[in-house]
Amino acid sequence: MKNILAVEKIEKYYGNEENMTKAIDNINFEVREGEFAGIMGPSGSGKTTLLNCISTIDSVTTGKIMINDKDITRLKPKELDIFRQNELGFIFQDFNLLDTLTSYENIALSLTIKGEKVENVDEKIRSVATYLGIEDILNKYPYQISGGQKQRVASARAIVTDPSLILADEPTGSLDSKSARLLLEKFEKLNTDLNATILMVTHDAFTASYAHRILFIKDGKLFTELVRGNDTRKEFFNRIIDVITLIGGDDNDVF
Amino acid sequence: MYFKIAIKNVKKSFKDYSIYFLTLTLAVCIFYSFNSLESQEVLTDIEISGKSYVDTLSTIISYMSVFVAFILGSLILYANNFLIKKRNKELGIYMTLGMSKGTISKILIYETLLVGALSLISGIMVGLLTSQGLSIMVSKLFEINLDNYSFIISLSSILKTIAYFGMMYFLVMIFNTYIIAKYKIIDLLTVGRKTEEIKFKNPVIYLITFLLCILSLGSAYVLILDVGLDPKNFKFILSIILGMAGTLLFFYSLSGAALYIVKRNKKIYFKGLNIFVIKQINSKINTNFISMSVVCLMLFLTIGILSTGFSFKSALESGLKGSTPFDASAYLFVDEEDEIKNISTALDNLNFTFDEEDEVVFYNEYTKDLKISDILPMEKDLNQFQFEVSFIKASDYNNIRKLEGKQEIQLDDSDLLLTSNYSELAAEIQTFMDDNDTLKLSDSVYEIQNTDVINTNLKTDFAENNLLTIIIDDAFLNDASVITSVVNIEFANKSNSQSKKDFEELMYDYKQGKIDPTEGSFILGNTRSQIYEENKGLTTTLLFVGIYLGIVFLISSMAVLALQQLSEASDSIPRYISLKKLGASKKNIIKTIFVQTLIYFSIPIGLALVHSIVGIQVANDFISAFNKPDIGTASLITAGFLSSIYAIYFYTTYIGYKNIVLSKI
Repeated sequence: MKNILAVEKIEKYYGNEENMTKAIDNINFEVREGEFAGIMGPSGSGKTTLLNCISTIDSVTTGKIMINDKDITRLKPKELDIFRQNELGFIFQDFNLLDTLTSYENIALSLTIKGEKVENVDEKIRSVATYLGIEDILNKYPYQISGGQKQRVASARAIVTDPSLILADEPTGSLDSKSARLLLEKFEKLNTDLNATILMVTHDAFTASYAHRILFIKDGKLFTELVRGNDTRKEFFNRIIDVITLIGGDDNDVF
Repeated sequence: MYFKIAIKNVKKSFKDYSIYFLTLTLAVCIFYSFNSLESQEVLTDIEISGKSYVDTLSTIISYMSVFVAFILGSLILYANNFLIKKRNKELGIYMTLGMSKGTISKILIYETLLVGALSLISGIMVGLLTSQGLSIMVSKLFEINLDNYSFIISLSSILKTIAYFGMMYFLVMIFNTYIIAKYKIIDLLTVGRKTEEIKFKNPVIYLITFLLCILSLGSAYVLILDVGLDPKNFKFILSIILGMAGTLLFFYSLSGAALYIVKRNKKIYFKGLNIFVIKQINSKINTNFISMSVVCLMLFLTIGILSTGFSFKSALESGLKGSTPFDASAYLFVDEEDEIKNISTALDNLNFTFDEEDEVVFYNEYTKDLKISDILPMEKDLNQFQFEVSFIKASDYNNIRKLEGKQEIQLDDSDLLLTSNYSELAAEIQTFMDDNDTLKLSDSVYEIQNTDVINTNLKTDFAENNLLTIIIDDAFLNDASVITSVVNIEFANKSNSQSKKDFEELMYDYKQGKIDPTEGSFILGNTRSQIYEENKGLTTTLLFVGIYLGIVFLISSMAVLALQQLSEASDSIPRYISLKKLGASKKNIIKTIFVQTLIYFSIPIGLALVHSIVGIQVANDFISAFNKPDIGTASLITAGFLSSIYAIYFYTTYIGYKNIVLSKI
C-alpha cells in the first residue's frame, strides 16, 4: 500500500544561534493509505509543531514532508492554499465551527472554498451527514448543539472534500467521555468503511487506543512506536499506558 | 503608575481605534469652526438694514450647538461603549490581579482625559484652519469684500468647545465608572467566549415584514409626492411616520429576506466564501437594525438638506433678478370699504415726496372677479389656478415699460397681452398660447397680441409672483374695481439717494407698526437692495444651519457604521482563523472583508438615496414655486462632499478591519 504521508528528516528550530530550541529534532515516519495513526507525547514534546508542519500551517527548518508524493515544504503560498483545500481535512480540539453558520453551511463552506460544483454540494453534504448521524441537526447553529455533535459536524466538514489525509488535533479534548467514545467509533468507521487515512494527535491514552499505530514523541524526537497488531483495544490501551509511564518516568529521574 | 498604564493603553487605542479619534477630532473641528463664526472679523463688520445677519446666524448656531452637543455626546458615549466592551478581558485581568474597581475607574478616567485632551487639541488645530475656510465661504455667500482678511483665533469659541466637550467627556467618565461598578470578574473574563446567540426567526416572518416595508415605503412616497411640502397636512405627517416605520421594517427584514432569496440561488450561495459573507452581514444587521435605521434617516436628512439647501438658495437668488425690475416699489391693497383707493394719495397724506428727478410710475391692478381657471382651460389641476386674474390698463403698462427703458406697445381695443412669470403657471400659459390666438373675456373674444408670454414682474417684490396679469385696452377696465395700487420708482441718484433712504425708513416704520394704517392705509414696499440683502441673510442663515447639522449627521452616521464594523472585526477573529485553517486564501479573506464592509456601508446610504430622490423631488416642487431650481450643481457638490467623507470612513474602516483580522491569522 502506498504512503500517503512521508516525513523525512525534518527539523524545526526556534530562536537564534545563541539560544536555539529544537522543537523537532530529526523525525522520520510514514503513514500509509487507509491507516489510522496516532501521535502521542507530553506537552512541550513538539507534537503540535509536528502537526502544524504537516498541515502546512507552519514550515520546517530542514527536511521533507511528502503528502501523496508531493513535497509540501516546497510549495508556494498560493499552491499551499489549494493543496490544503484538496488534500487535507482538519478536525480541531475546539471544533472551529463558524458560529454564524448552520451545521449545513459549515460543511458546505469547506466545499465552496475548494470551488466544488454547485450541483454536487447538497448531495455530498447529505451523504456525509447520514454517515455521521447528523442529519437532524443540519439546520441548527453551533450554539444549539452539544459538543459531541459539534465535533461530528466538524468531522463531516473535514471529510466531505474527500481529502487524502485527515488531521485531527486532540479531537476529543473538549468532549465528555461518552461523546468522545461515540466520535472515535465514527473515526474507526470512517477508517474501515471509507478507507480514510487519519493522523490524530492526542495526549489521552483512551483516545489513542483507537488508532492502529502510535508514534511517541519526546523532546522533539521520535521516542518509540507502538503497533496495535491483533491486540484488543483494552490490551493496546495497557501497552500505551506502559509507554506513557516510561516517558513520564524519565521526567521523574531528573528529580 | 496608573497614569503610565493609561498612557500605554491610549497608545494602543490609537492604533486600534483610529475611527474613534477621527470622529472626535472631526466633531471638535466642526463644533469649533461653526461656533467661531461670530468672532471672524470680516463678518462682524457687515451690517445690513440696521441688523447684522451674522449676529442672527451665530445666535442660531449657538442654539443649534446645544442640540449638536447632544448628538455628539450620544455618539461619543456609543463609541466609548465599544472601546470598553473590547477591553473587557483586559479589565478582568486587572481585577484578578487584585486591582480595585476604584483604581480601574481611575485608569479609565485618566484615559478619557488623555484621549479627550488629544482630540481637543487636534480638533481645534484642524478647526482653526477649517474655520478660516468657512469664514471665506460665509463672506462669499454674503458677498463681502475680503480686502482686510486676517487669520482669526477665537478664544471664546475655543473655551466654549472645551467646555462642551469637557462636559461630554465628563459624562463618559461617569458612564465608565458606572459600568465598571456593575461588572463581575467572571463576566469580564468569559465575555469573549460567550458566543452571541444568533436568532433567526422563520424566514416567512421576514418575507412578510419585507412586503410590509415595501408597502409602507411605497405609500409614504406616493403620499408625499401627492401632498408636497406641507407640514400641516395630515397626509404629510402620515407619510413621514410611514417612511420611518418602513425604514425600520426594511432593516429588520432585509437580511432575513435577502438570505431567503439568496439561499434559493445556489449559484451565489455556494460560491467561494459567499455563505460566510452573507451570514456575517446578516447577523450584524439583525442585531443593529435600529441603529442602522437611524443612520439611514440621518443620511437622508443630510443629503436632503445639503442638496436642496444650495438649490433653495440659488433658486431664491436667481429669482431675484426677475422679481426686481425697478429700484423700488410700494403697493397698497385696496378694499371696497377703504377711503383711500390710491397709493399716490396715501403717500401725499403722509407728506412723503420723491426727489424731483426720480422717475415714478403709478398704476392700478384691477379685478374682474375672474379666476385663472375660468378663462384658461388647463389640463393640470394646480392650486394656482384658483387665483384671481389681474388686469392692467394698456396706458399704465406702457408707462411701466418706459420706466424699464423698453419700447411702448400699441394695443388695439380688441387686443390683449398675457404676462406671467410664476414658473409652472407661466409654462402652462405658454402652452395655451401656442395652441390659441384668442382669449374669451366677458363674452367677447380678444386677440392675444404676444406670441410668447411676457415673463416679468410688474413691480419689485421678493419673488417672481406675477401669476397672470392681462394688459388690455383702458376702456375695458373703466368700471372694474381696483385691487392693488402700485408705485414703481427708479431713483435718480443710484448710490446715495435721500429719497431712497426716506422711502426705506417709511416702509420700515410700516413694518414696525409705527404708522397707524388708518392714516394712509397699509403700504408695503421694498427697495431692490433691501430685497437682495434680506434674501441673502435669510437663505444664508438657513443654509448654514443646514450645512452644520448635515455635517454633524453625516459624521455621526459614518462613525456609527464604522464602529459597528470594527467591533465586528474583533468579534469575528476566531471565524477568520477557522477560515484560514480550512484553506481559504488570504486574498479571498481580504476580499470577504472588503465586500462585507462595502455592503454594510452601502445599504443605509442606498436607502437614504432612494428616500432623497423622493424628498428632493418634493422639495423641488416646493422651490419651483419661486423659481426653477438648478439642482444639478448643488447635487454634485453634495455628492462630492458626501462621497469623500464616505470614502474616508469606508477606507479607514476597511483598513482597520483588515489589520485587526490579518494580525491574528
